[in-house]
Amino acid sequence: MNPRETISSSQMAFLATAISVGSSIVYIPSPIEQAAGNAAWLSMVASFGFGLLILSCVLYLNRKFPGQSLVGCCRTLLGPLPAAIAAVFLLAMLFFALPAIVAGIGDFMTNVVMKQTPEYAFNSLSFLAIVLTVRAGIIVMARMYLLIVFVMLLFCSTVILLATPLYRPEYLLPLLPGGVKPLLHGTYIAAGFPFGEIALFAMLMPYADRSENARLNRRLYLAYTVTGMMLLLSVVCSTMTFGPAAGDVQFALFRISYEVHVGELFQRIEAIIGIALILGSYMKASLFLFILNRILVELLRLRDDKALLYPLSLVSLLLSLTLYRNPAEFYQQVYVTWPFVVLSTGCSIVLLLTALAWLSRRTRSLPNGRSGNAP
Amino acid sequence: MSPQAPDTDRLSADMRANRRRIDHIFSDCFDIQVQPWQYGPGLSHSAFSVYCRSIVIEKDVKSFKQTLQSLVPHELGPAESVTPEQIIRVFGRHGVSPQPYRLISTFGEVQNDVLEGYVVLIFDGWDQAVAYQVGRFPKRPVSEPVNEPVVQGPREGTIEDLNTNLGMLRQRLKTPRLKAVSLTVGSNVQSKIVYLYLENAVDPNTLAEFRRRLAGIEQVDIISTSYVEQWIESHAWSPFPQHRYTERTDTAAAALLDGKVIVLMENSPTVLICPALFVEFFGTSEDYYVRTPFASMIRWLRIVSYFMAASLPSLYIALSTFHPELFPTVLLLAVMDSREGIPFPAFFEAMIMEFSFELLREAGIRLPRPVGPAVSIVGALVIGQAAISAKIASPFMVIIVALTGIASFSIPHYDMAIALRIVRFPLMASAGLLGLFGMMIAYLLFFLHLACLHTLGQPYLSGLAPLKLRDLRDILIRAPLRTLTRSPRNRRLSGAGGRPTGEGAGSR
Repeated sequence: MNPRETISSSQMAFLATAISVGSSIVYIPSPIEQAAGNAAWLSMVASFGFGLLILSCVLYLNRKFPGQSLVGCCRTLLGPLPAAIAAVFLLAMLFFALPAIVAGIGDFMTNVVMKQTPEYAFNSLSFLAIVLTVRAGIIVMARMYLLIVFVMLLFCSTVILLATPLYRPEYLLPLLPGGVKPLLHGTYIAAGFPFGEIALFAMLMPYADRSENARLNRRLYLAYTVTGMMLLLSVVCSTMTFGPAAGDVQFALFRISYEVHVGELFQRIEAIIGIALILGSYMKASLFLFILNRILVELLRLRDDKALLYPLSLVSLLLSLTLYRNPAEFYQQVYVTWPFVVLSTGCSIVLLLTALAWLSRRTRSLPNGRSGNAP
Repeated sequence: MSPQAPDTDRLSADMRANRRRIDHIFSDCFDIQVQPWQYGPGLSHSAFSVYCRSIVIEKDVKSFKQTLQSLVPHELGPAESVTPEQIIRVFGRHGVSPQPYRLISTFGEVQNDVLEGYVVLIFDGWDQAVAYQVGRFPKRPVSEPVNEPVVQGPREGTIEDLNTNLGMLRQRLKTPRLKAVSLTVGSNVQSKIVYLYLENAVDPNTLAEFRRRLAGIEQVDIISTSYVEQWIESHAWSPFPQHRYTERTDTAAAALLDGKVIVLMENSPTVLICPALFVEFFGTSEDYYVRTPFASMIRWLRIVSYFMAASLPSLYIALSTFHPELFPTVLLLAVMDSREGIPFPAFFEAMIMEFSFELLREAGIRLPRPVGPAVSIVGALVIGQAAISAKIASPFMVIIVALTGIASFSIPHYDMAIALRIVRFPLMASAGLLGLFGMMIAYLLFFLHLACLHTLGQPYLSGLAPLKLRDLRDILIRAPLRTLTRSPRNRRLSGAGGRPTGEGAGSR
């Protein structure tokens, strides 16, 4: 890794927002509501707690192994072979996620906006923008995302605010219509997508400016909380707008914006949600591509860390066009398989490493303590 | 410093040899005047003066008499009371003379000084020469710059004379910390460029980068300040200007206070300000001469005009071709009605109109001044009207193109306006291909390009990306001057509490 490439704590915070809000602010309400019904917002709160746990593990690992990525931590703790196995799992996970995000753009565009245009037009252009961004390096990405995240959150908040006349708070009741099980199901989905994805952020931690460590933790927690609030808000608003039908509404925020009619002035504002969705997907996908490339570079110990970018994005482009035969399969994979993958691979690796790091510290400090007590 | 080694041969004590050499150097230069003189007891000693008639005012050339006069207490008669020994004794030791002079001893210096407008006196029996500067032909007087007029504020503009420009800047910043470094460039043109910076304001990294990039320019014949810009810029193929120009001394002084390096050049009225950041192109000097609400409103107007100049045609193409549902219904009907019978898709229609507009604009600039308005009348009125009647373009498109043109005229910096003109076409193409999605991708790529640009080591988008919230008060609005001057954007000037720029935070 190029040691000069560091980014400030506030930029890291915005990257965390980018990776966790991403496109999910538009996507997330429907699967959660489908699973949890009115308890969707409760499951969001619960899974946000889980996300905070993962984030604190990531920060703990960063404190224990400063300047090391997730794979690096793994290598230090477990040795090269387990690290390689973990890296392969992470790679597989990203090769699933990256095409899915971009396919999400294509799916949205072909379903909602331009129905006659083939999907590959959108996917390939998105990948072009994504790969060029990743080639420009993490510093440029961090600089750009600060502004883009700001614009994206501004757009989403504008829509949520303008849609106020549509909200019917009574839709939020009853709180738990189907008992605890739907709540747990919703929590499980939201814990994987989007909250658990923060586990992958551990790959970006080496780029944090180490002189700002104290501020970094605070800002990351803050950014993550803002993210959680925004996602929670979009779920609550979607429930309040569509009531029991919320689970069946794809792209909930987009639909909400479609309904907005404030006087003659604010109508037909769905384009700005479309923009927010594309911006979010673009940021998330380019961060995932960056991480994917990072893992490969560390795994294969490449000297040129940009050599693989074009092949990787070509493969991902082809995957994004071939992985899903139809939208139903896409939703199945993204909303059912992906949360499981995140929890079972990303979060598990982080939790395992944290536990090992904690135990190794204890076993190492125990002898020290004994020798200290010895006369 | 120039690659052709300067003539370092020393003058000899033999005046005739000197004369032959000088005649050889200036052979076929009819405006070089070599004037022989006789002086001393019995007019037995000889000397000659050399000057360039086309640069100096000849009636002011009284140097020879003055030289002799400064040696004797009485009014000089026929120059018989002065001896060569006196001359060598007094001038050779830099004695006092009523007019400033300098001593030179090589042919290279003689050549340069004559071409700089000096009168060089060479005496028989002395291997040095005396050079006086005399009156030169007056240049264009200081006037209001044509390109950057203001309603309020100073009307002083730079002219083609380097010393006058330098003097005007010195009068504005009366501090020894204003450093002016001069270099002579070009083996043939031998022109002088001066770069200035305010020692306590400039970021040392920027200055070092500027000097590093300037290295080697001494060997190049440069005609205008823009050569310097292109010499030091790192992204020559980027449409976006990375340095800016002004002809206003107040703008130049403000740039110096802002920590910029500015470059002046002999015979060029344009002042180069390096580096220029993207956000600086939103402002003009007048923003600081009017009151805050007005200045802030104008800022917003300009930001909107930037977007309009770059993307109004593409937005129209995208909406009318791909997303008609985004138009309000009544407007949509009006648009469809006006496009009825137009044989081209919106993209080609827009391309035709934009292309003709660019043609008109270029023609208006190149034509002789009296004919210029005729072009705009023929172009705008006749062709525009006829194109609509002939159903080549819709009235909506004409409105869009005209609005785009007006928006690009309202951009205060010509370089940036050109950049937006260039950017407009790829945006139109992407809108024509994939509608708003194409535009978004194009915008993302432009944003990426801008985020990658550096100018003298600083990120081009400084202020926006990396975002500095404190800087936004002079970008999105123009905060009251009291707050701006109390803690200026340049943190070096904001006192002990200020953090130096350019390190760490600045480079991200």
